[in-house]
Amino acid sequence: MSTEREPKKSLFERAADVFDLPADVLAGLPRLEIAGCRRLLMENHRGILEYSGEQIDINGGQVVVRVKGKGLDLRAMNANELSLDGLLFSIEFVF
Amino acid sequence: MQQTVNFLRGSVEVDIEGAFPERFLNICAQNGIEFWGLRRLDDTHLRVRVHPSGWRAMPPFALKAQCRVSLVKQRGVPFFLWRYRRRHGFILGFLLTLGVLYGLSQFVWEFEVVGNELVSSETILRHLAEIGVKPGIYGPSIDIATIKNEMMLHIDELSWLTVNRQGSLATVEVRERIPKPEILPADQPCNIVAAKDGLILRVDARTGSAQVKAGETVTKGQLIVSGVVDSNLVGTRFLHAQADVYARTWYDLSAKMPLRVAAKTYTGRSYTRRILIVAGYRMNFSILGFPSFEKCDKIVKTATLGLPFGATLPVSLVTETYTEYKPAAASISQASAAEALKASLTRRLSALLDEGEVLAADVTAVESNGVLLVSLKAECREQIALTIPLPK
Repeated sequence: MSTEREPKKSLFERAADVFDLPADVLAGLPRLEIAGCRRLLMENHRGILEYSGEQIDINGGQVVVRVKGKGLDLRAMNANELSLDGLLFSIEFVF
Repeated sequence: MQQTVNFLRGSVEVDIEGAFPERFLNICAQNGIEFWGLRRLDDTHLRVRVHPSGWRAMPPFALKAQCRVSLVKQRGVPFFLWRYRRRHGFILGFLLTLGVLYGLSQFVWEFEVVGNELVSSETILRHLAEIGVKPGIYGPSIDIATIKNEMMLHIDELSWLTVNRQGSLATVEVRERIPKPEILPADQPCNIVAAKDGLILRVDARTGSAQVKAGETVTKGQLIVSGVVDSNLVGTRFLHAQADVYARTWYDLSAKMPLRVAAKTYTGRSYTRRILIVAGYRMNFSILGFPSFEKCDKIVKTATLGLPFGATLPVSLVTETYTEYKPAAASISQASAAEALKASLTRRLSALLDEGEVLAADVTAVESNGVLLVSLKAECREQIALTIPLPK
């Protein structure tokens, strides 16, 4: 995972751009909802890669979402959605 | 809320040990095993909480993810019940309680009557009690059709009745019969006569021929508008006379009242007894005998034990107070007696008037031999038409 390489847009992503459609619906891209600095809801995730109270890496398909914070806690998770609690410091996208 | 649901469903705390415990979590999430409260213990250890069904489904996935799962703690209602499964007495008592609760809720303790205006609730409840429907009856034995038939026979004023039972409260819903007004058919020949003596002010005959003019005096029963109309063109016709007849009428009403009346002087002696009524059984708390009062007032107060939201229990405490008194004479002032009589005469007058108004009233009061006589002379304007069928 090098940060220099920019991933190519998928066919569905390009289609979403052309037709002005929401990319998360069409291409199944991850969708993040952040409430303040305490709660994060992520849809269309592909699973957890790394889990600790300070850092959680979530597989988002073409990108890894890295959430850093303090006292992070996975509140609930199913095949599509997951919800995190805790003090959020940063959210990074790692390619 | 979620915590309550989790408590009722029960939850299991599970330790996950393996090289990549996250991989196990992903597999769980994909296979619909709900989990929450995830904690990292160290690099290879995770602790998580799942529902009991999730715990049972875990082993094959753990094998796939090369993890070892172990149970740490069980909590919630299902585990609690499982732990006490051998305590037969407890289970028996619990079931017995439910059974007794259900059984007792089948009995009706309270009857409520709604929808009655003319017939008093007491009358309806008394008749119901006569046919055996009273507090303490076993609910499912209430046969609404029979009750309906019996009650309609007993109380003529009712046109419909039903009993709705909600637990131990039965609501008796009734509809009263509306008395049929006496209507003469429009094709029946009729005359209009004077209902009262009076001086005719106006006769508006819509059908029929007027026999009196304004300014004439009529006596009660005198023909005002005839239903028999004779003409050269079509001969004699018999019609249903219709008319408004306004007349000036006079009333002379009087009422008497003695100015000396019997009053009560309380002797200060009284006797109180309390009776507890539980489901219709009277329990007398007062052991002392009933004192002999020559004349006494009896005041009965009933306090019924209630529950919130308007429900009542079949327990009531009746307090009966007997207060002895001696009759004594007292006098009333003439002015207040005259006032009371005048009010009652005015009420009587307005009851006599049918579609009319009082034009002038004169009240006189005379006292003789301790009796006050009040007379009311009134001049009124009212409708005096009375429709009666023509004799055959």
